Amino acid sequence: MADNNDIMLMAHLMRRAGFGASYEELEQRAAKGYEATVEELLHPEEQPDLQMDVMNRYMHGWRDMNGLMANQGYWTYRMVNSPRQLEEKICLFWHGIFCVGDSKCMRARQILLELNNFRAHGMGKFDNLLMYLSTDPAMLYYLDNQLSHKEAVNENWGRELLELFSMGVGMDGEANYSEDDVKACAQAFTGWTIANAIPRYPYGSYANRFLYNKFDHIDDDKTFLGETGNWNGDDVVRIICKQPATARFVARHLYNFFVADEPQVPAWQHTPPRDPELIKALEDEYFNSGYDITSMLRVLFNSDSFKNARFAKVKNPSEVVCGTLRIVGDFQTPKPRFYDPALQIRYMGQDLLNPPTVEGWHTGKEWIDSGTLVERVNFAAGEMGRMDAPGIQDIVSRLASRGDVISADGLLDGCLELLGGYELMQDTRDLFLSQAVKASELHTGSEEFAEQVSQLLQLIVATQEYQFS
Amino acid sequence: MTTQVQGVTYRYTHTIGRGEEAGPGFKNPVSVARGEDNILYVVNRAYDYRADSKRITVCTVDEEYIGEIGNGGRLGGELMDTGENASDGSLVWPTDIALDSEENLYITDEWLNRVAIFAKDGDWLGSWGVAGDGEGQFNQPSGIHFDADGNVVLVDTGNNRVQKYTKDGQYISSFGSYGDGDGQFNMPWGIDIDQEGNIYIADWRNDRIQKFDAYGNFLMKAGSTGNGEGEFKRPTGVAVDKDGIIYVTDWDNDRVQVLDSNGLFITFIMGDATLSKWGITKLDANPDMKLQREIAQGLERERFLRGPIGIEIDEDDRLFIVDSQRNRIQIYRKIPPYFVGMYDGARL
Repeated sequence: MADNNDIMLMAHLMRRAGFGASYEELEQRAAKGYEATVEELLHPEEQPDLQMDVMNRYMHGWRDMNGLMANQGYWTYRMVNSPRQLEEKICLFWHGIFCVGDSKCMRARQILLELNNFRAHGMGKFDNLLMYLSTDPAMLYYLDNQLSHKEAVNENWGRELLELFSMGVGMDGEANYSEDDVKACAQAFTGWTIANAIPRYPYGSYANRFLYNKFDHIDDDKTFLGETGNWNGDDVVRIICKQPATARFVARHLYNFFVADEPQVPAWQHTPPRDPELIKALEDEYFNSGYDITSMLRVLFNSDSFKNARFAKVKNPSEVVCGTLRIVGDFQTPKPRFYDPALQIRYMGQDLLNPPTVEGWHTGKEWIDSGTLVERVNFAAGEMGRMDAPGIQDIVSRLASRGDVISADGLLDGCLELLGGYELMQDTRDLFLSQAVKASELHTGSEEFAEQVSQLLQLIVATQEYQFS
Repeated sequence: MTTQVQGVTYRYTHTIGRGEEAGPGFKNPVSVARGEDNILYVVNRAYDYRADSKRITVCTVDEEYIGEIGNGGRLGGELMDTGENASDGSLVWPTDIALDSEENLYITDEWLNRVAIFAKDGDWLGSWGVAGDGEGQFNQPSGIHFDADGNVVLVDTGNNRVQKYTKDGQYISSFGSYGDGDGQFNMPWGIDIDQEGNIYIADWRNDRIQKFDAYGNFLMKAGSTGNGEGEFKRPTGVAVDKDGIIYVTDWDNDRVQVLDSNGLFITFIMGDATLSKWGITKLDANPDMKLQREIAQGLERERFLRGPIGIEIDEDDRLFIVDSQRNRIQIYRKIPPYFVGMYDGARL
C-alpha cells in the first residue's frame, strides 16, 4: 500500500507530467507504483481519449474551430479532463517552442491541426517531428516560407529552424552554426510552400495544404553544417538531428519544462546547464534511442534529479488554471461562457495559440509580475471558494473523516496534503494559524466546518508557495 | 446538380447565407422555420463569446434580408444573461424553432430551460418552462414542433423524453425514458410530425430515428452507428414530407440521408453549395478575397455540407438544410420522378 511519501511524489509527477490530480487519483496512481505510472503516462495511446460528441453538441464553435477563443476553450477543456495527461502536456511543451501565432495566421483551425500533430507525434522521434513541422502550413505561413523563392530566398524559416527549433545559437561558449548555414538551410527549403487557400468569406476558412513546388526549389549543391550536397529540406532535418547541439537543445528544453527552471533560451550559449549530469544522460538517450522523445522522458521522470525537484519551477499559467480546476473538479460538463478559464490563462500572460513572438513565452520567474500575480491569486482563491464544487466537497469530507475534532495544525496540514503536498514557510504557517484558523481545535461536524476549510484553501492558493510546481 | 433515385429526384436550387455576426448572414445556424410569403426564420446559435450574434435572422427564400429578432442577453458582446432571471428576448443556447398558426415564433433554449416566444415582428410575447425532471418540467429542451391541434411537442433532451404542452405551456403528456430499447432515448434532439400526426425523433446518441404515433406508441426505428447507408453518426434533425419520405441530418457524417417511409435508405445528399447572393455581395466588397477565390486550390470542398443540424421540408417540397458550420442553408427541391426512356445515341 502506498504511503504518504509515495502519494506526495505522485503529486509531483502529476503536476509536471500532467496538470495535477485530485487526491483520489493520486492515491490510485501511487498504489499502482511510480514507474508503472510513468509508463502509463508515456503511452497515451493506450489510454481512452476524450469523447467529444457531447461537448461539440453544445459548444458549436468547437466542431470546426474557426475562432481563437473556441480553440483556447477546447484546449483548456482537454488539459483539465483528458485521461492522456502527458499528451496534453507535451503538446503545451512543443507549442511553447515551435511557436505559431494566431495574430499572424488568423486561422486558429490551422494551428489546432498543428497541435494535433504535437499530440500524435510529440513523444515520437524528433526528426519525424521536425518533418511534420516543416510541412505544417501554419508554421510555413507564420515564418514566411511561402514567400521564399529560388530567385529571392526568405531566410526566416531557415534561421528559426536552427536558432529556436532544433539547435540553438550555441553551447559551451561556441556557436552552433554560421550565417552560411542559415542561408544553406533556407535554400534547401525553397519550394516548401502552401497551396492557395480558400478565403474565409463567405463560408468560413478551410484547412490549408502543404505543397512542394519543385520548380521553385534551388536544385543545386549547398554546404550545410560541413556537409555538401544537393540538399533538400528533409536532408537538412537529417543533418540537424545528428548534431550534438540538437541533443543538448532538446535535453535542456525538456529539463527546463519538466524539471527545473533554467535561464532563458538565448543565454544557453554561455550559461552551462544547471544539472550537467542529467543533461548528459538525456543527450545520450537522444542518440541511443534514435532521437526518441519518449525514451528521453523515461530517463527524465525516473531520475533522482526530477524526483528531488519538487517546487523548483514557477507554474506556467496553464498549470495554474488547469491544475486548480482539476482539484476543484467542476469543468467537465458544458455551460455558457465555458471559455472563461482559457481567458484566465490569457490574463495570466499565456495567450494560447497566440504566443507573443516566435521566441515563445519567457518562463520561470518571468511569468510573474504584479498584474499576473493578482490574476493568479484571484482565480485560484475564487475557485477554492466554490463550496458546491465536487473537489472542494471531497476535501472537506476527507478532513471530516479524520475525527470529530481536528487541531488547527492538523487542519492546515490536511489541506496542504490534499492539495498535493504543498509546504508553507514557517511565517506563513504561523500567520494562518493565528489569524485565519484562530481556534486551536475545530469540530468537523459543525455547520461552519466546510466554510472554514474553504477559507483556508483560499489562503493557501494565494501564497507564493502555490505558484511553484 | 440532380440526384435521381427510386422515383424520387432532388434538384439543388440555391444556397442562402454567409458567415456574419449581424445583419444579412448567419452564425452557426441550427434551425429554420418557413413562414408565409416565403419568409424564413433562421435560429443562430453563434458562440458565447460573440453573444451579440445570437439571434433569429428573418429573410426570404430568395435571400432578401428582412431583419433580426431576439438577442444573446448581450452587453458588449459578452454573454451575461446565463441565470434564471434572463431578461426578455434573451437567447442563450437557442436550439430549435416552431411557428404557431399566427406565425408566432416558439424557440427552445436549452440553457435557460424555457420556450421563448416572439411575434413575427420581433415583439417579445413571453416564455414558459420550468427546469427539472418532474411532470411538466424539462431539462435542456431541443426539438420543437406544433401538432395538428396546435399543441407544442418538444424534445426533453436531458430527461430523455418527449413532452406535449398547450401553446401557453400547460403540460399535457409525455413519453420515453433513457435507454436504447424501443421507445427509449439517449439525448434525443430533432423532431417532426407527419400529416397523420406521427412523431419522428432524432435519437441523437443512439444513432437512429424513431417513429411514434400521436400518443407516443412506438411504431418504427431506423439506423445504427456508422457511416454506411442507413447508418448515422449523431443524427440531429429530422423532417418528413407529405409522401412519408424521411430526411435526417447526419451531423457527424456531414451529410443528409433520405429514407423511405419504412426507414430504408434511399440516398445521401452531400451538399452542392454555390455562392449565395449575400456571399457575392461580400466578395464584391472585398476584391482581395475575390481574387483569392479565383486562384484557390481545392475550392470544390466548399460545396459539401459541414455539420448539418436542422432540416425542414415545406409544402412545396423545398428542402432546407441548415449547414451549420458553413453558416448557410442549402436548398433543394424534390420534383416528381421523370423517366426519359432513351439512352445516348440510340434509335429505337
